[in-house]
Amino acid sequence: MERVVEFDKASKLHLFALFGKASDAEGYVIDSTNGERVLTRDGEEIRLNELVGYKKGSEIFIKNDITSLIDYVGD
Amino acid sequence: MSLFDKIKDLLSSFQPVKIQGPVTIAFLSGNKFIDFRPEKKEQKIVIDLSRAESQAQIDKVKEIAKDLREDGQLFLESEPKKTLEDIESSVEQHRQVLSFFKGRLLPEDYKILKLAAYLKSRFDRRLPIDELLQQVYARYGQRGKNICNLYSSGYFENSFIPFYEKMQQSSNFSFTNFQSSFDMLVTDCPFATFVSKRTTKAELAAEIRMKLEKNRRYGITELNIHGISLENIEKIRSVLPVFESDPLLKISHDESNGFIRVHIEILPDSV
Repeated sequence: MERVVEFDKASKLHLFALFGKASDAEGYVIDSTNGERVLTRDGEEIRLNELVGYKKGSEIFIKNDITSLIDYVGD
Repeated sequence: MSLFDKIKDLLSSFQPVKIQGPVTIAFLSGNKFIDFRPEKKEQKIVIDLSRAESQAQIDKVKEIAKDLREDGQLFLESEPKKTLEDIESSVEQHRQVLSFFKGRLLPEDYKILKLAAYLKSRFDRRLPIDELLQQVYARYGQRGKNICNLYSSGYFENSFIPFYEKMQQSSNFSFTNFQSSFDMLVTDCPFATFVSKRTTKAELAAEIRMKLEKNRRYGITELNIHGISLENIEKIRSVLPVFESDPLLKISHDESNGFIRVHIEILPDSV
């Protein structure tokens, strides 16, 4: 399995602030520097409460869905 | 300064502990800004950012978090982390079949097959799968759902592996030939019908009729109908009489613990 840094719901906002991310008035994750909403690999905007994972690769934002998690399961 | 040194440096300002060997970082709520939790295989450093007392503390953690990101580590919330571990373990349990198909299926189909192994493993543990199957359907459509259903009913292990091995003996065997057959098997599911809660009796009867006719035309001599739950079993039973009265079909069924598999044999005269 990938090396994982675990975080819980309560720590999410603080953790993502370290990476320059925040949420807008509608709860979507935004880049704090330009206010633009970040996108998942499928090109969807993502709400903070849907965001469960993050990885470098430009920047990958992961939804809580087994079809997204499967990308991180080894062969 | 290496990531390990930065972690040591961060820790030394809060807690006089020696760290050796593998270290993992977790961002969890707790009672302290930094907590050190030695575990069996690794030493876990738990950080609660909401308890930071100065910007300097946050800046130190920020540097570490960025290094972890640059190192390619995956940041994952606790529940999905458990799910990911569960998927890993299910994939391991189904390693034999999965290994056979690795490299023999297109990457996306192989990914679905791993999801299918996870759903099968949950099903075997009597854990709910409906919502997860719906996620597969939303992402991969009917093909995704079919692969999961076919896997869970043992078709990959008992039919597709022997089918592949038989095909491989043929002199004109090619990956493309197998792909095209596999594509037909998972798209049309000629050997099987899977009854879901949403399938109506009329739709089920029409699907069985259509598959039987098609199979007759192509020389396929069987069709299995799979159902789970009393509701689906009842639905299947209710449509069977019309087919049981057909002298050119031989019908048998296995039923146990909320499962049913109806086997319809298309008799030789009708092929």
